Amino acid sequence: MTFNEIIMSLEVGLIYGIVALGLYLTFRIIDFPDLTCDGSFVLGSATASVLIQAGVNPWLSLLAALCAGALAGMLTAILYLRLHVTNLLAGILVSFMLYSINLRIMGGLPNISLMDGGTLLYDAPVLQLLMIACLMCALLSYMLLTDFGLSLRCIGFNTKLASNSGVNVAWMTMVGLALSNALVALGGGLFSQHQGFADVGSGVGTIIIGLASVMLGEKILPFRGVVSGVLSCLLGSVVYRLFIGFALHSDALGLSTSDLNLVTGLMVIAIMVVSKREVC
Amino acid sequence: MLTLENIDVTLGKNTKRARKVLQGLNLTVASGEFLVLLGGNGAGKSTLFNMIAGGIAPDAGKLCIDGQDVTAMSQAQRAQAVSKVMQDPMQGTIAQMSILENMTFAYRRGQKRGLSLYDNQARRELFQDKLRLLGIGLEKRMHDQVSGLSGGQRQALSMIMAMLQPAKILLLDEITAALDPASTAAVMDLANHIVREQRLTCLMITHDMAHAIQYGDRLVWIKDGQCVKSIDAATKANMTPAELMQVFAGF
Repeated sequence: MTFNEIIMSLEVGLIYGIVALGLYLTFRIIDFPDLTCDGSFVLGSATASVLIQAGVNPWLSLLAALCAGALAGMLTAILYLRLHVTNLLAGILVSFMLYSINLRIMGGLPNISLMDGGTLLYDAPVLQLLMIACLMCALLSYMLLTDFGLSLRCIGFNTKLASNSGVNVAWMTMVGLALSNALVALGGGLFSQHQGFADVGSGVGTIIIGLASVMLGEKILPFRGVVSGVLSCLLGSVVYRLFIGFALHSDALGLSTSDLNLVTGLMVIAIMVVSKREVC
Repeated sequence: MLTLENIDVTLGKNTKRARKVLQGLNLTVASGEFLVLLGGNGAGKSTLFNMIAGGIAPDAGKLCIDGQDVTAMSQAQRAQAVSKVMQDPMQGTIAQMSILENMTFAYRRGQKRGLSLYDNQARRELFQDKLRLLGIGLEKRMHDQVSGLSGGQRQALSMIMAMLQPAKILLLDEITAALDPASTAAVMDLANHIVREQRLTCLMITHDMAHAIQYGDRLVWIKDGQCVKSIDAATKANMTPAELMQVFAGF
């Protein structure tokens, strides 16, 4: 692995670290297995790319991606809370429908090139990405350390006590899903700016990659507590990218890029098996 | 003061298993009164508590707290006035959080939960003062996870948590059902102490006849979703658990 490849892994790791923060919020904090993210990642990517192509400031395009993601999360929440669709199906449905919406946003094209410039991550993207990722970590940690954040954590751990204590569980679930998908879409927006293109198929497997990062992070920083939990997502994502980078570039293993899903899946299974052993 | 007028509650509404649990229930609890509720399984005691707390809406009837009609108020809004201690200590506390986090969470019951940091010196001191009442050293273990506490300790903690924010009505739902005899005595003494000292309006469900005689100002027997018999403090004080059982066997 060359120096450039390591830097590249770091950059992609930071971008998916933000996605992992979003998944941490749903899977770990409010205990809602949200599968919207495959769709909301591309939603963010498509929204940001189209706006950049139209000459909009790249920071503003990220803000728009963030808002679009939040809307997708709210849609899943409405399906679950108002129409009583089960949580897994609600996410899958929204993600499924987002495919068409994303194509609409992209003007019917399966991919958009941003090679003409106008993106944020033009030169020295590592510093900018580090800045954005750290800012998101700080905001999320702060939020979780407030009275509001405490009630968000409580609805995941003990829904009954939460509603007995005057927390509006439905509203908080909605907020959790909106924030989570906003982060995932921000990740998507950054990803297309980093790669110089948006692809309607780029969201496949976002959940697995994000979860792999969250789980790996929990192994690296096994401390209880909000701040270490948030940081571990970012760390897990970077380590995951480095690991994948080494695995795919090692001549001895003879793997190619197309083996990525297999390697990731096996890694997730391995982490789960190891976690179970420790409990015993 | 709590007033219930002609309350009807159906569980599993619009399903084949729909069952009328409360039927025309009337009950008045005076301010500062400690009422003990007894009744067989399925009599509707827990449903009554759930309805008072706002978890279930009645089909008919009126529920007033201090003269204000709260029948249509949501559970979240009602949490300010009503506090509940649950039967299972695992449900009344959050195992995965520290004692400090649990207390902070309970401290905001029915209040706005804003975006200021939850941990501060003033709160810590308040919580430590409250925990000292228990006399089991929890005040020195504020950062310990609640999952490490025994059932009795957790139930004592959930009692303290329920009283951190003043409530107009306190509901105690078989709070000693999951505890050993020593913890049972400690938790009951604590509950009685808090209720009497703060002159709380309190409703307690129990299956323990001795507790029903020892604690509370009045005893109410619930059957088939109605209050069928009421015994005042002076009468019940002279009864034995066996005599009490006999009185209720007649209904």
